[in-house]
Amino acid sequence: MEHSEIVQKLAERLQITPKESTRLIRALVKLFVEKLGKNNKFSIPGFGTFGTKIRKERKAYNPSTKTIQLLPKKNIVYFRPASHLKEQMKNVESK
Amino acid sequence: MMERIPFKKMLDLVEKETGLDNKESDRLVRHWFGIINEGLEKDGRVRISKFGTFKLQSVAERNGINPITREAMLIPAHTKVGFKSAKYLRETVNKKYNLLEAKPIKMEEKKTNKKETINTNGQNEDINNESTKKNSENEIDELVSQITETTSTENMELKNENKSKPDTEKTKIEQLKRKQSEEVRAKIEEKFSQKENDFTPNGVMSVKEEDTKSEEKDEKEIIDQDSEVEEKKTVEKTELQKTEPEKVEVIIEKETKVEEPKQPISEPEKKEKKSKTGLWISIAAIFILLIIILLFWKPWRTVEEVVAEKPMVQEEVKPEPPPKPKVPKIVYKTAGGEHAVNRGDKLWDLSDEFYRDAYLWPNIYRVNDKNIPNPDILVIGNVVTIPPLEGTYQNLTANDSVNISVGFYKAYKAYQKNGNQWAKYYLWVCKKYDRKTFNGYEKNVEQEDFLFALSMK
Repeated sequence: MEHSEIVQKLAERLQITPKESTRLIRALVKLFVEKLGKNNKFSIPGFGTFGTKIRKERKAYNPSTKTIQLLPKKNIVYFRPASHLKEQMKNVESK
Repeated sequence: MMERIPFKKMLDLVEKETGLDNKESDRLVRHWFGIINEGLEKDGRVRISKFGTFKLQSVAERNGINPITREAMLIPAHTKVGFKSAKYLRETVNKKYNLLEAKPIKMEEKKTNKKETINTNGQNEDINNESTKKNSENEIDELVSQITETTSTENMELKNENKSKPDTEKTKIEQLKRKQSEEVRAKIEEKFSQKENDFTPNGVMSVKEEDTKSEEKDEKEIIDQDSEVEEKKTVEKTELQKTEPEKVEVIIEKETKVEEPKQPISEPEKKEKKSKTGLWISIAAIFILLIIILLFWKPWRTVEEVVAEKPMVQEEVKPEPPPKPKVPKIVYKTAGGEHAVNRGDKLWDLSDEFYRDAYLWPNIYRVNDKNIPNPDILVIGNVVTIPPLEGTYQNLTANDSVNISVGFYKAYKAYQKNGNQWAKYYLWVCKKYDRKTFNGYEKNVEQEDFLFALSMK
């Protein structure tokens, strides 16, 4: 499902114009990204939790240049699905 | 630091960001994630721009250990939900560590050394090219350095002496400085005449400026000399322009840069005129401002007028009458289609809304049993499909009763899984609606419950 489809469906459900729904989605995404940028953690009931954690620096071998590099540590975003979502998707075939 | 934001606080933030009600923002967030949920089931992949993609991944079965009982167990194959953050999100999260770069460990060290040597060679070549040009300038530079040393030391002495010694000694030192500056000018003019192609470096001119500043106050003769020197230079340049146009362009650029600060010094009278006109302009501007302030402020207003004005403003802004609360009309919807779950929705209410009979809710559950593990809990934003009835709720057809009995059986299974003690009663109702389907489930059902359902009338 692409972004445009989500916009259309949200507009249908909340009974608003597609322009308004794009604005709302953008605002939501902006808020979530802002909060994750401050290393905050939040959960949406029935869907899952979003948070960040630090990945340590590690050695990596680049096969094309045949060199070993020390990659620096960085922050990554993780998503843990809620138990309801897990149960729901257990038997769905992945495509 | 890692801080958990509760959902209620998050809704307040959404309220601020979007300008919706608290209830509406709750609906928005839940429906948005409900749509993502739906898309995952449909396509197995949902992309949200600037945030990330949710994707279903299949996991093969493997051996594991139960962490509580420490027993080996087989984890069956299943699909899980994965999330990959978008580039925009990754960059914002990683702002702190953006400056860090990957360091090469072994092979790369030799390469970097080679690069450095190449760089130094390149610099040397450049220097060699430039050295030929610089040789001609060096002679002038040496002169300048000598002068700067002497002047700087003298200046330092001057500052120290000014505090202690009287004015008579100052004049002596100034005279010494004048003599030296005149000597320097003579030397530089000779150089110009000798080498027409060379141009004066900036340092010489800067030194001249310092000298002229010190002399300016006392005598105007030296200023006249300066102007003469400038004239000479200009004449020389005009001669050069005819012979070698390429080099002259460079010279003119440098000269213009240097001469700019000199112009105000050579014409001090203009400066005074400008300052006088500036004063007049500033005074006029202040008067105009005062007039404008007086016009708007009205200091001559009496207190009564001020008091009389205020209530007028209050009367104008009348609060609008509050909108009357809408009385919700009971509208029975037609079954057949999809319904997005809102806050407070239950299967019981939905069946009352669509079938006009709340007791028929297992008919809805029959179709959606995969998405709803527990029939008591619906997730807001998820979609529930509602199958239509063939007859009406008062006169059910044979097919309807079969469907409903299947629904009751599925509800019984779900409640049994969750350990609900009332599960067996659903099996009894299943028997009530259709006896044949109930008999078909004899092997799938626990014997105690089956016997209980049989015993009930």
